[in-house]
Amino acid sequence: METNRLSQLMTLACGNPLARPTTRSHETMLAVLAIVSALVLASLWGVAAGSASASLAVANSYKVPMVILLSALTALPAGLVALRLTNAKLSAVELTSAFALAIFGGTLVLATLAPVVAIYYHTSSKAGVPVAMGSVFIALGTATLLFGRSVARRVLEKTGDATSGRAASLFAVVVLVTLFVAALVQYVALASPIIGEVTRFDGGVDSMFVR
Amino acid sequence: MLAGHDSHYVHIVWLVASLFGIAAVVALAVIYRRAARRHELEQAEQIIAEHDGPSD
Repeated sequence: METNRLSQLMTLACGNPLARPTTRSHETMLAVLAIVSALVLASLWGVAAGSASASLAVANSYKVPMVILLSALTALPAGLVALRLTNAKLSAVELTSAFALAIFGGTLVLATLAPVVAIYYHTSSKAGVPVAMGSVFIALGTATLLFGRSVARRVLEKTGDATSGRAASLFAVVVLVTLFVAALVQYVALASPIIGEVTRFDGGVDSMFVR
Repeated sequence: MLAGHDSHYVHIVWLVASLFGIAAVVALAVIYRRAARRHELEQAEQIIAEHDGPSD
């Protein structure tokens, strides 16, 4: 049953509709499953990024999923308020569900790149950290694209028009993604060290813009 | 050091934030169980409706 749900999750993450129309409870279940799967996938990347020492790898298996979960929780209320204030056609459950699917997609990319991060970290003194950071940016980009696509598809399904009400829903997407990244930077600073070396992100937003 | 606070303060902030995260995970588990129960009920109702359908 859970394997079936995971395949449904992958179908939705790929942007395809499910064979049977989903009910609200089914959508909620898939959203929760997406978040839990995302936490496990993020944990894999955390272990790879912290594989320089056993203690850091173990700590990262908890810290990285927690950073992602907390960033999502911090950004979500603002996205929901933006959705309501712009009178978007999308419901709060649908936006949250699309957000959860996007996080799942992003962490899937992180976990896929985890072996590359680990091997570069152990075999290259110059490329190890850039590869780890690059994998995060690729995952963020992927998640943003998946989120935008998922929201656009849901608006199209609801209104039957590709343009009607899309701007308002996409505004909520922009708000959510911006606040997610803003929160992520500070939670990474709180949880640092995540990568075994000092990076620009270890000091939060203050150290990012120091020359 | 974040915002001039020492590492102990930052560690406490991280612990408090982690507690919120753990609470969120527990909330997600509760939400999932409720949704699963409701989904089972909906599926049962659908099967009954499909079964009753042809005789109407």
